[in-house]
Amino acid sequence: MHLEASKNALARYGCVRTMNFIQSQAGSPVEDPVRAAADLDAVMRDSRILVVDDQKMVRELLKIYLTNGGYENLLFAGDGDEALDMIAAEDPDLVVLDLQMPRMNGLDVCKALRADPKYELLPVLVQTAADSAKDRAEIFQSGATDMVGKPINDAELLARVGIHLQNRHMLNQLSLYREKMERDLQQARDMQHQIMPGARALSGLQEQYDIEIKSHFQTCDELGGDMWNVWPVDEARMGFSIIDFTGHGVVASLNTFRFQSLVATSTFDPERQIEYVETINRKLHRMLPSGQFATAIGGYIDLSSDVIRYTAAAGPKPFLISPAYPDGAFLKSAGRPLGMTGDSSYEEYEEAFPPGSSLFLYSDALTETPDMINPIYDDDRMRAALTGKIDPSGHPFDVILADFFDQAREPLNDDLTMIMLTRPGKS
Amino acid sequence: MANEMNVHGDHVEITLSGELTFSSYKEFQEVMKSATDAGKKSCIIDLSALSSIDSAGIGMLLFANDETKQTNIDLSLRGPQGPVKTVLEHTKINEVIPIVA
Repeated sequence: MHLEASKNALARYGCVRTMNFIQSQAGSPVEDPVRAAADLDAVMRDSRILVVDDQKMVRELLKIYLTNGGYENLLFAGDGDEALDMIAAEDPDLVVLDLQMPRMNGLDVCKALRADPKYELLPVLVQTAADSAKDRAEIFQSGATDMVGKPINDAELLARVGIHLQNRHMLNQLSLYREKMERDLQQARDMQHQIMPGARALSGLQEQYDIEIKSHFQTCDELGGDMWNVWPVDEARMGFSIIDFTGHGVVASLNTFRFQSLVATSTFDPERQIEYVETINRKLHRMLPSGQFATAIGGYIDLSSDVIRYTAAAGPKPFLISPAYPDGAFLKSAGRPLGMTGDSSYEEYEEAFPPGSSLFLYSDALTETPDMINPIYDDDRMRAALTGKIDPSGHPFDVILADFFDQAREPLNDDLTMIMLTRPGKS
Repeated sequence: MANEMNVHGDHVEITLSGELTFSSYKEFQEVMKSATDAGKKSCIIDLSALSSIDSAGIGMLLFANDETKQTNIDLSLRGPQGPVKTVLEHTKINEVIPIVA
């Protein structure tokens, strides 16, 4: 049997077409079926096949069959021990294994291979004359991938070798693709974390304004559609924002980057906050596809007049604890989400924020996980956690975080962000 | 989500029930397409039997509003209740898509 025939055998199993599909999916330039088949032949010819048999004559016979089938990269071992040594040294793509051999027999070789995670997926074809179902079951139980009947028929051998090599190469391709995707996602995740304040920036701000900043950011997929920020406006004012784009995952995360680029090219003017938000909204509306938007709360703390001034675009109601509201108060936050319409107008709200005040901002995962009909975390629970009714000794932020995860049925189905800004009381 | 579509004179009425969330996307698109294809002047989406809506659901209503505008169909919403009403008020959807009695 020559190469042409073996290709036909492969084509019969649909391997050529499947291989081409996988390569195209993986972003390889291979789109042309003729070229795909040619590439496949090259991959096949390069495959390393280890033939294990104690009889020299059988080894010679298999060599002829495999060489005629187009396989040139052949290795040989005369018993089980030698086979394991050779597999460790040469890392073959497929093993054709005899069962009855001196020293270590074929079944024990299979078992030894499968016990090692490195060889979990190595295709092992066992040559056998076994015709009882019990014997065949034992062979599969020991870890064999497939069997070839003895006496060996060249067409059957090549067809089976071909299909298992195909599987092996496709699995390799898939795992390479997967590794690449995981690397890319990890990089994207790092980038996403970089658009939020880092530890050094935070400790700088805490010192500069004497405001304690606590935060939690968690995505439900690799990437998320939430973001938050705190930044210095001037000597007496520190800005804050929390944003939640529709959906989650890759699309929502791309919108956070869009938003970041918008903000980076606009100057926040605390005296003209409404105008600033309306401009951002207009630009965002032009950028986003219909039906995508972000809920948001943003503003600043003004230490010189002891107030916060903020605008709201349908973000969840901020929770304020202050000398005036020792039991806390939910603040206004209705408004059109950012990017929903180009002509949205916004209002500015002001609240007293003297020393001893705390502002808690959060994404709707807190109140909407796992569904909106039965929120596990409602206003009353939030108030209790943040005002020391659940655990008076813990920091309110740590208490609500712990309490939320006590109640939540993980995994979360939305991204979760919480921030708490606290001015220490006068001592 | 479940839906029902009826044609009355010069308008189409869609009744949604259950939850309008990301997983309703395909079904919602299909019913909106049928409503548009009916070639009537206006379309009312009745939300009184809808129990919840998430941000993706709001997005779908907005998308439907943009689509119907392009074919000169007047879209309006009717009868939101409970959490759905709260979400629509919070996001001021009524300023964008009229809510009729």
